[in-house]
Amino acid sequence: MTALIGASGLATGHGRSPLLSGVDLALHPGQVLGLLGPNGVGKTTLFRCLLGLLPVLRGQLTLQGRDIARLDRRQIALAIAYVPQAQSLPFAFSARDIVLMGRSAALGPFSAPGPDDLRRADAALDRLGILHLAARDMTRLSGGQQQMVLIARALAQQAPALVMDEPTASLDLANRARIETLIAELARDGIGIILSTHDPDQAARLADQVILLGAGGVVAQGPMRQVLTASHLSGLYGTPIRREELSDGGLHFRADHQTGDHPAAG
Amino acid sequence: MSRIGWTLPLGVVLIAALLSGIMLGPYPLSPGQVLAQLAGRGVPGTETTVFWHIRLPRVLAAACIGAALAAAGAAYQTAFRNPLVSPDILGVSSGAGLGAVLGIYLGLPVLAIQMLGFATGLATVFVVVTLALAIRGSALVMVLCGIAVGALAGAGISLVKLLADPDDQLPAITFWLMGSLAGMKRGDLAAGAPAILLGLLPLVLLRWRIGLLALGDDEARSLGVNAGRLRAVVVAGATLMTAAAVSMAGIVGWVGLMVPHMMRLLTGPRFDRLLPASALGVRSFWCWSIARRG
Repeated sequence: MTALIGASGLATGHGRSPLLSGVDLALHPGQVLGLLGPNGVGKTTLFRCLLGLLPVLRGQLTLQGRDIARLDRRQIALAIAYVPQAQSLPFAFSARDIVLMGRSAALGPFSAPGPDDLRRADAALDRLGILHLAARDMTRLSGGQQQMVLIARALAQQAPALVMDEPTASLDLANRARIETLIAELARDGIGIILSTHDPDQAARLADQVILLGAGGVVAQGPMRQVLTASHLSGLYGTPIRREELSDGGLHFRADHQTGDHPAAG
Repeated sequence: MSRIGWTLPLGVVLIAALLSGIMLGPYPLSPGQVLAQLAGRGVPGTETTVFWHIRLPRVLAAACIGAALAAAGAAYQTAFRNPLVSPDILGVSSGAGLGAVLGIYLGLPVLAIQMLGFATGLATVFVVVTLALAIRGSALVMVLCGIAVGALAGAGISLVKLLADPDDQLPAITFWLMGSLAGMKRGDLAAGAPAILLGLLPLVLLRWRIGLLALGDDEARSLGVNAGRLRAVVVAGATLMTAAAVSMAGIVGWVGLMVPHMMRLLTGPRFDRLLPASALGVRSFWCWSIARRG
């Protein structure tokens, strides 16, 4: 099966010297790939490369089997949608306007959104339960609400692959649960999702495959249970981390600063 | 009222402003006289001269130049993600001003002065863009280059003023730099309007995509827009319009800073709605203002 996003031996970064190298990944329809790593190791850099915003310095990157270097901006946007961490706007766009912008790749170069695009934008807002915010000024929404609008925009883009940069970082408990449920639903609908998170519990709840990113590149990758081990995470974050099996089959991780015990591999 | 619904009332206000700009003044014209002139049945003499040679070129120039500056301002503010940007941010006004004052200093005819102003305005922005590309800088670097080169052109204007004949050329230079539509002729309008329309065309065609530049380059690109190329088109179109407007009417770039902000209050920031509203709104404002002067 052709991967929605495929990378082999990928190296990328700003300028000519790579920040990341040797990244191999394959995202298939319906798969959720979790990306974990300390601050500053290059998670967002990797995402920007996958989106064609940073150059491929070495290796190969394909979207639906096609070399990204041969795709124009519109073709990339039709293949992959992006939810950034945050947004700063110089003007007071409404939430609906922002979501409508997600329809741009589906429009002709000289076209503006029509009634069908408006319907799809409202459907995306409704799916996130924020249709009541449609007319609100985006700059006056809370960080969490803005995050929801950006996710709605990515849904309106209707791309088969979704890249989400810490999608629940600004969300309260209820909205975090809502987004996690949505991610699971989207995966069931056949959308491939790569998301970064600082929460290993969340990665355990959502991801089928996990990549641990350390300074310079990939530390470990593979099926979630094989990668999210106490030893891997302790090594990655440089602090003792315990892994606990929950009664519902899930995993819970916690940093254990007080005892200083180095946990056994999970 | 819905935000998009403001275009129609603004259009009505514009027509009212155009008519008042033609009718009011030291030699008032009635609606009947205006209609008769338009139908070619006007009374020859003063009335015909006032209508065809003074008022009509002036209101049409006000409409055309106002629309150009406001549309260029709205486009620049969106493309550079900066609400404080005006159409002369890349030095086009100062560059055009330098060309025009040089033309006055050299004793060129009016049309040649306008053409020289137009050419130097475009050349200044070309220098700014080339510098920014050479530095491989961001949109901010381009704006900073524009300010620096614009200041250099401003220094050139000061030098020409210093060298100019204080009894003859200096007053002409000063009046030109103040900006005015008072001496507008039909020929002036015919010379500048095509450049304005040519610059406006890509902004109208790409009105939706230009709005995406307000999100920042990375987001715009992730949504399918080639941000760098699109910004270059905006700069080219807006510069063409501004250079034409300034070469016709002098340095009046502030219109392009203020009007888009006023119109955003009515239409919101979406560029596809802001563009027509800004163009209509400023035309009306200018037509009213010249109606007050006769």
